[in-house]
Amino acid sequence: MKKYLVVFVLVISLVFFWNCISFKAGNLLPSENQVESIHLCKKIDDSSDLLKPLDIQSEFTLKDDRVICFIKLKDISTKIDLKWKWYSPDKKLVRDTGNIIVSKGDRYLAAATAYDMYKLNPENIAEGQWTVVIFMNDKFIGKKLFQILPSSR
Amino acid sequence: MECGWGSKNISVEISKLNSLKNFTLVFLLLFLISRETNASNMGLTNQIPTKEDTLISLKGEYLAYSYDFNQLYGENVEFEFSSYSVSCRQIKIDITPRIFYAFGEVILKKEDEKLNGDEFLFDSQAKRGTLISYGEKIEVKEIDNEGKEISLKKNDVLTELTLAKIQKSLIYFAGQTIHITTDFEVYGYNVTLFVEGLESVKFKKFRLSGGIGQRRNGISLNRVWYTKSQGLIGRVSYSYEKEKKVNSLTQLNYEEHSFLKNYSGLKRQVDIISSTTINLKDDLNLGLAGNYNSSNLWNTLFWLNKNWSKKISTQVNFSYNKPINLKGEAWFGLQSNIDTGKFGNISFSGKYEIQNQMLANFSYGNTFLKNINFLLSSTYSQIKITESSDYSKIFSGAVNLSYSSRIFNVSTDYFLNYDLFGDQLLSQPQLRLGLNPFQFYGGLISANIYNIFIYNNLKRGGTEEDSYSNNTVLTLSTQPVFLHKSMSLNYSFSLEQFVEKEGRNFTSGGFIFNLNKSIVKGISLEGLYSLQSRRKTEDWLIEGTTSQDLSAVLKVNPSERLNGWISFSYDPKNSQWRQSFADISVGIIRYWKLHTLIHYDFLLEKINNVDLYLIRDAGRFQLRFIWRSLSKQFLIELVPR
Repeated sequence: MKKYLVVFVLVISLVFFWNCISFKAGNLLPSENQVESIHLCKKIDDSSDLLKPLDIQSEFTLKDDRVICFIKLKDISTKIDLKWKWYSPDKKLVRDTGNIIVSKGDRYLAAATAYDMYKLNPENIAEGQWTVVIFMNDKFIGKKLFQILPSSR
Repeated sequence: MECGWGSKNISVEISKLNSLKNFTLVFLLLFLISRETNASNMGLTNQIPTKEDTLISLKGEYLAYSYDFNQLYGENVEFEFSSYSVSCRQIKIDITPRIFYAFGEVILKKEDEKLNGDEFLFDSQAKRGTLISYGEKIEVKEIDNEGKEISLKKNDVLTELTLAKIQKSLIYFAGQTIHITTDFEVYGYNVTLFVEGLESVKFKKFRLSGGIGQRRNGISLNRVWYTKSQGLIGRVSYSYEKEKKVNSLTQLNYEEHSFLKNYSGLKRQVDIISSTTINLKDDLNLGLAGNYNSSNLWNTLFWLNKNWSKKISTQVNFSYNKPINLKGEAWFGLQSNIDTGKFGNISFSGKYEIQNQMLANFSYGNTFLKNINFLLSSTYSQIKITESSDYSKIFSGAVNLSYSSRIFNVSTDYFLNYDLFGDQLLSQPQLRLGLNPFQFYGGLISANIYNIFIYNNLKRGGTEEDSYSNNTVLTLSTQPVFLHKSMSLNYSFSLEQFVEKEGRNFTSGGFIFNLNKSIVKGISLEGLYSLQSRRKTEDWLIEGTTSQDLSAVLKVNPSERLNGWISFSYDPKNSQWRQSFADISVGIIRYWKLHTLIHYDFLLEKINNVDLYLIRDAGRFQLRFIWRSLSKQFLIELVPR
């Protein structure tokens, strides 16, 4: 009885799936140079090969002397330039790092980390919502928003 | 301005690329699909969404959809938005909260118009969006947006949505064409299925997710299954919906047991359940519901709702209920709610049955001077006693008046139950008085005290009985006191005095010491000692019991992958170990974790129970393989989250 039941289920399954499934899988692959994460932080741990962000946060005060924008990339096999652009609450560009070479594309990198740091000067820093944008090979790949709060907080 | 760049800022790791295909996973997936087809509508389908049903149609070089997280990621994608053709380097869609975000060389084209930007945040349903460019300043351009702002912060949510996250899903699909319908169902064409990151079968067309689960009009076969214990079971439903006018659902359940050898119940059974609502106007609707069971049990309900205003509503209803082997009952009912604002809420309902049965209910509630609450309710029931010409007639009423302030709260209740048929009258006034928890010694000690007094008076025939009881409870507890940087102690004490007319008085009290010691980061030890005593005082007799418990809990949480605790319990009074429990969870690989619960009984000197769980956290659901030693069961569960 069980044998017939198994055969019956298999036949029904085949009829059901025949038009829907093929066992020849495609060769779809995502592009290389993937962004794994972007973080805003206060410090960087450089004790190992790959850098690590420390004190990750999205709110800073005038007491903090800097804001770090950290990025981790993976599957890198082509030439890569990175560029950070920092914008003040009135949406004006206040810092542009220009293109910085991360990989010359001469070998495969499973992962790479990099960061840019914006120094907070209490005398001319504006409170409010700031924006930092990252470009890879002059193409937008990500952004982070952060708040600069009064130091009394 | 200092730049944080240098050669040290860039570091590199070379990894090994593994590729392993396990054909058995295909069968695991087919199993999952068959489960999910019933549970949440994921599965194979031949239905192709029409153009009208399609919310957004994506074509890209690479599109990946995670069933676990109901999220989509795409590269070099093109789609239509409003009257524009849009292209972008990447797209992220979080379907559950309806967030659509295209970025990287975004181009919107319409006839002679061409717009460029770095980010495009859009609402596919409302056909409006925001295009953002990062040049010398941030430039924001609204697309068909008419001043309705799409929060720019919204796309910050999607920083967690990465291809890496999707590729770590238990089930995800990759392809080049994906449609999302207006019901937020996701359809893929020529998509490849990945199970636990391993490439498996390819589908020509596949409904990838269940969307918002809207029913379509017509008949559908919901389930047919067979088991040795239940027999053959089938479920069919008929649904009809006309937007904002008619909503109707009828379900038929059929069970065939006649061919089962040891089945003691009915040979077959049919259940029909139907419910229809019709909206005649915005403030007027009617409904009809009915249930039928083949064992000759059926009932039906008709109702008409009228909202006279936002504060006044009335319902008229008629119901007929036919129990098995008993005469049917036909009820006519009326109920109404009136919100009079500062004068309080009034509700009343009445039902009459043609065999002279009736039910009535009235309630009034209001709040005075912000802190005083008043509630009055009364009910009357006249119900026929089964197979008799007599009626049970009961009147009951309750009044509650309460006052709460910053320091204390007081509440009085009066409950009355008058059984007219049995000639019994129970009246029960109560008084509750309590001090709100208060703190002293700078918040170190917190105290709470309350008292409940209850009086009962029962008049039955010519006799009258009285009884009363009073309960007073005092609790004291301390905040944790740090004896050392890594060691804290807190203490709680409680005392209760119960007094009643019959003299079964008792006094109970106890205290608990709780000591916490942090050993190293992620590992802590908690010790607990409790002493509880209960003394009965009756005339010259004092008797009672005392119990003690000493227990220790070791908590281990050194990393995200490992956490758990082990507890030991000891009875100091009898110098005896009692039992031990352990609850340990260990992350194994990817999102798989092993979880175990163990119970050891020192008195029986054996492991009483072991539960082992192998768990895969998969976003919207959890897959669990469970083994239970007590019942010797092995279970596989799919638990929605």
